[in-house]
Amino acid sequence: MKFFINIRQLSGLVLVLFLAGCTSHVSKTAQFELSTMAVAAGSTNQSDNQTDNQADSDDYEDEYADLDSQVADPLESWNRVMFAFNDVTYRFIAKPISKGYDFIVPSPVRTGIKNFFYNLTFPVRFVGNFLQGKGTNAGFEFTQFLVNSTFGIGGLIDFYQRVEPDNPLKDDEDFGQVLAHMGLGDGFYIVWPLLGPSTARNTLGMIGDALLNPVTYISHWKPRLATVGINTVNGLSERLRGYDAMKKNAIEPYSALRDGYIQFRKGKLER
Amino acid sequence: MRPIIIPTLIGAIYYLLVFWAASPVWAQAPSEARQALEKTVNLVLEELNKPEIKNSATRAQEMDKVEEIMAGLFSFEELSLRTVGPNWKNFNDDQKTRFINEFRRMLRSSYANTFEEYDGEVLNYVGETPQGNQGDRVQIDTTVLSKGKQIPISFRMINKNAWKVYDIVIENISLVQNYRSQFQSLLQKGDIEGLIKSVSQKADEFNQKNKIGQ
Repeated sequence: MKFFINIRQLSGLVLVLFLAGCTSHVSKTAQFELSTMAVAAGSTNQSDNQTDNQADSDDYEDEYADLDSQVADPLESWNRVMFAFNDVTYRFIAKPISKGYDFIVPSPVRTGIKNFFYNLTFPVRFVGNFLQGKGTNAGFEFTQFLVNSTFGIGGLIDFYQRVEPDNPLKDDEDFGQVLAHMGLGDGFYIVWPLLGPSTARNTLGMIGDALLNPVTYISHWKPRLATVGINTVNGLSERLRGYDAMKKNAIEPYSALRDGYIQFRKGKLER
Repeated sequence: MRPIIIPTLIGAIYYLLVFWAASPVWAQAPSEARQALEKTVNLVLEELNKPEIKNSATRAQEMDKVEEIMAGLFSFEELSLRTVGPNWKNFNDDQKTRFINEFRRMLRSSYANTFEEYDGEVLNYVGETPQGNQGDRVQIDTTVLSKGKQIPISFRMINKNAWKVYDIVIENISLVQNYRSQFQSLLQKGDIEGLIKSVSQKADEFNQKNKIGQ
């Protein structure tokens, strides 16, 4: 998502938010550790008198305990409002647009556009890999870019996928991951209007991504906005399908999305 | 990179069952846990390949059968207590039983329709890692190739007389962890009875949709 952003303004705001978040995150973690210690103390007492049958199910290894509230959400009330705003926007604006677009633009063209923009954002992934010391992946990214830009006609066709079906590039590396690799914590969870869920760190990362995205350097705002618009609308149906599926299965959609986002990002870091 | 795209991957949970029904191509002497998983997956596949599934008259009945086979692989109790987390000890026995039943009903109906999406996907065994230090838990890692993309899916299993699945992790998103965060949020706002009611309502909602779909 490369919406046009006034980087100077945004980075100031983000920095303030980030610093605020870091302090609140520390206190939350401390609180949380205290509460887990209390729980742990409680469960050892229980295992002492294991004659009770019920104790069996109470006294299990809770491998999920340290995942609870691992990223603080001090802005929850703002975030919930943004979540609701995004939800309405998706349903009543994005969905009709996406349906109309998919009706007019045939599927192969959509794939071509998707491939084109994927190829265009090569610098983001290449530098992301490089800065995380993932030399092999950076090499693969480079080869992929060369092959697709030439044989794949400027990236329209994912030619590399055909010659190298075992393409190891399963992950898109980005600046959020670079910052995490450097040891920067998530800070806190934040839902941006239209952009959706993020954390303080990944928001900083988005700025880095934008700086490496060629689209940012289109000099006039009209063609730049048009380019961003095409890319966004083109990928819309895929995103909406995922969002709908998430919401359909959720009992409390806000928490479901927050947790899903955090787990997904965490998984990316482990790979 | 593109935060809005993240919900897409969260949505992978929706495709849960699509990947169930896949034929494993597994080498090596399989562990007990893997055998249990493989057996169920094969049974489900067998049912899905029957002509009855294509026939709208026998379809519903066939789906019940598939659901029944799948439910046998899960331990809904292990799944429930982990999903509720630390609050589980505040549930009385009656509430525990009712919660397990409603959650089971909800999960079962949530995947009831997704079999239609099955498109010959294949579940590939990647490896397995023991979990915890009691030797009764294991995580089995697999991948599924869907629409040109490798999607990692892991099954967390526990040995309670037999190996049962208590969590499924798709694209690093754990089903248990995801519902756990939702239930914690609901329990902060309301009580245990309210939570059970919410789960029950969701199950009803799914069942309603499934009926319309048929």
